[in-house]
Amino acid sequence: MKNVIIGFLCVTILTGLMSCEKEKFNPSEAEDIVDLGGGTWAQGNIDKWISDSLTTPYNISAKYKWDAFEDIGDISYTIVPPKEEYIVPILSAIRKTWIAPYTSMGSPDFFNKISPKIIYMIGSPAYEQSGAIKLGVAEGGKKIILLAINYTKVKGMQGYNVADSFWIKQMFLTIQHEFGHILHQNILYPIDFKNLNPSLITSNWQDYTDEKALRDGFITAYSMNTVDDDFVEMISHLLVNGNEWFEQMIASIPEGVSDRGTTRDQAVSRLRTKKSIIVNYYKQAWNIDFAQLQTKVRTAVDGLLY
Amino acid sequence: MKKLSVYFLLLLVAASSCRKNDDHLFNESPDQRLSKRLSAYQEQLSGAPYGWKMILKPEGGGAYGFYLKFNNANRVDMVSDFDSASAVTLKESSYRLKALQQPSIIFDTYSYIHVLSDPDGTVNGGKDGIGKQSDFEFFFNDSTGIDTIQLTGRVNGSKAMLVKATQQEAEAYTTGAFNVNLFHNALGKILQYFKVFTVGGKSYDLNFDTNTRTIIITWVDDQGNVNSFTTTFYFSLNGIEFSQPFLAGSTVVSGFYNPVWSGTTQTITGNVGVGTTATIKGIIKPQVLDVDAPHKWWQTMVDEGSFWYTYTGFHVDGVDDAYGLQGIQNFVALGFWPQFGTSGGITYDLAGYLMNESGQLTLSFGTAFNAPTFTTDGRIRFGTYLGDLGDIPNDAINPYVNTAIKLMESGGFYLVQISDDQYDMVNAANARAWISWHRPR
Repeated sequence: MKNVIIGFLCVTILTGLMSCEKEKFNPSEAEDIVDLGGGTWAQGNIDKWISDSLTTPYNISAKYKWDAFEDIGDISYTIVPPKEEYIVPILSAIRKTWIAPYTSMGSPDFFNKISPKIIYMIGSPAYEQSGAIKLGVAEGGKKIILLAINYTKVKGMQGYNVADSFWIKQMFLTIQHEFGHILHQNILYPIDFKNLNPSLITSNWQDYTDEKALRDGFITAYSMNTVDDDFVEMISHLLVNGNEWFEQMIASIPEGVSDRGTTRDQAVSRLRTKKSIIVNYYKQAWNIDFAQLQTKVRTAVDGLLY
Repeated sequence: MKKLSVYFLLLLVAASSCRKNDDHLFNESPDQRLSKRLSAYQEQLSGAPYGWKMILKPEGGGAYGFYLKFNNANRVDMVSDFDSASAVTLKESSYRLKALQQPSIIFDTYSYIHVLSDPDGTVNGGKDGIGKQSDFEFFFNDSTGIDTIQLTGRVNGSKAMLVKATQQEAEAYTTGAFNVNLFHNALGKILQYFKVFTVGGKSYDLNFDTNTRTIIITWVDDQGNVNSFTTTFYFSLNGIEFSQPFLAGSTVVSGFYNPVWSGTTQTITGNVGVGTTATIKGIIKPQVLDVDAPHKWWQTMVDEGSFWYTYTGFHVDGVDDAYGLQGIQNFVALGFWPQFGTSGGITYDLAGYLMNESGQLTLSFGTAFNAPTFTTDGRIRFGTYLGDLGDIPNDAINPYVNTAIKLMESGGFYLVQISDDQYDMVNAANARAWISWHRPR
C-alpha cells in the first residue's frame, strides 16, 4: 500500500513537472502572419470581371497573376505570366464556347458541381527538351492550366488575323479535352469503347503523325495514348471542329492497309463507332443531345474566329 | 541503487520540463518584422515621387535600361530600352511584394521586364526555352539604401538596380522622349563594320554587338601589348551607358552621350563624361586583328562535322539581309559547311540553304566552293565556284547568286570572334559587308 502511494506520488510529481503552462492563443497575432490565406492585391477591372462572370455564376476562379508556387509538372520550365489585355477576351471566349453550351443544355447545377474550379493562365508555352511545346495541363479535374495565353488572340483583338486562330483553337480543344476527362471520371463510358482497338494504344504516340493515327482509326496521334484520351480527343475535336470536319477527315483516309495492319474500312468504321458511342453516352449519362451541343459549340467557335 | 536512479530520473524530467515563453531574440515576431520590412519597401517604391530608373542585367548577358513608376495599389507603369517602341510606350502592369523566404518583389503580369524572360527566342533574340535567362521575381538585397534598391533574381540570379529618378527624368521617360534610336541612328550612319573610338588623343578599336548588348574595346599599349576591355551597355536618355566604366588613359569613359553625326567628316562626335568629347569613325581594317581567327572559324566546324548559320545572310552598306534571303519562301537559314563533301576528288565547302519542307528542316540546295585559302594577314578567301547542289527555286535565284558572288570576292574576309558561338565575317575590301555566323544549338 505504501509503495502504491509513493508510486502515485511519483507519478503526480512527474506529471506536474512535465506539464507546462500552455500559451493562450492570441488571435491578434495571427493577423500578422504575412500572406496568410494567399497573396492579396488591390482588385482591378480584370478581377472584377472574373468574379462577376465566372466565380459568382459558375463557381470557377481564374488566376492570371504569377504565382511561384503553382506547378505545371516541372519547375524547371522557363515560363512567363500572361499579358493583361488577353485575359478577359480569352476567358470570355472560354465562357462562350464551353460554359454557355453546356449550361444551356444541362442544368446549371450539373455544370457547377463538376466543372474544374481553377483556371490558371500562363503567358508562354512550356518548352520541352524535345523541342515540343506544352499548351495545357489538367490536374485531377480540379485545375486546368492554360499556357501560351500571349499568342491566343480572338477576333476583335488588335492585330488579329485568321492565322492566329490556331492558338485559340488549341485552347478550346484543351478545355473540352480536360472537361471530357471530368465527365468520364464521374460516369464511365461503356465498356464497348475500351474494346474497340486495345492493341493499338501506345504511350509512344509521339512516334506517329496525326495522318498515321487516322489510318488506324484515331482522330489524333494523342488519342493513342490511353483509351481515356481516345474518348476525350474524339469529344473535343467533334465539338470544336464539328461534323463536317469529321467527315472530311474520314474521307481523307487513303485506301490500303496501315503500317499496323488497319484497313481503310476498319479505320472508318472504328471512327464512326466511337462517335456513336459518344452520342449515346451523352444522352444516357448526362441527358445531353450531343448534336445540339456540337452545333452550339461550333457556332460560338466560328463567331470568335472568322 | 534503485532509489538513486529514480531520483536521477526525476531530476532529468525536472530539467527537461519546459518553460514556454514568447520572448523573441528581437522585440517583434518574425512575421511582424517581415511585414514591417515589406511595408517599408512598399513605401519606398511607391513613395518615390518621380519613380525609379532601373538597370537589369539578365543572367544570360547584356544590360537593359528601364523607367518604373509604382503606385501603392499594385500597379506599375514602365518603359524600357528594349526597342524603339518599348522606349516610348508607357505600359501598365501589375506587381506585388511578397515574403518568399526573403522580402521579394514579383512583377506578376506581363511587362517589358518579362520580354527578357520570355522562353520564345523570337521575342528577345535569346534561345528558345530560356530566352535571355532573365528574372521577374526578385529578392531585395540587404545592401539596399534609400535612393537605390538592389535586387537579385530568384530563379536565374539576374541583377537589377533601381535608382530614384529626378522630376526631369520622369517627365522625359513618361512623355515619349526616351529615344533609343538617337544612338542607333548615328551608329547606323557608319557603314563599316570596324570602328575606331578616339578619346584623349588615343584611338581604340570598337566593336558593338547590339543583340548581346556588348562592347569590346581593343588597343595596343605603349609596350606593344594587345589589350581588350569588354562591357555590356544600356540606353539612357541622352545616349548609352557602359555597365563598367572604361579607363582611357586618365579619362573615365562611363558611356557615350549626345551623339551627333557629321556627314562631312563621316564622324560621330559625343561626350564620354563631364566635358570630355570623343569620336567614333568607321575604318576598313582595325588596329588589332586575330590573324588566326579565319582558320579557327573554318576548322571548328571541320572538327565538329557541323556548320555555321545565319538567318539573314549578308549585311551590306547599312542594310540587314541585303540580298533578301528571308524573302525566299520557306527559307530558314543559310549555313556554311567546311569540307561538306567530295566531288571528283575535290573536297568542297558548301554554302547551303536550310528550308522548312513541310515542317522538316532540310538542306535543300547550295553553292559548292573549292577549298579556301588563308592569308598571313588574317583573311579567308573562299575557293572558286565548283557547282550547285540541289534545285534552286525560282524565287531564290537572285538572293542565291548575289550571296555566292559576294562570298567569292577576291579580297576575302576577316573573321572576328565575338564568343565561342559567334564569329562575324567582314569583307576585307571595304568592311561594308558582313555576316554574323552562329553555332547551331
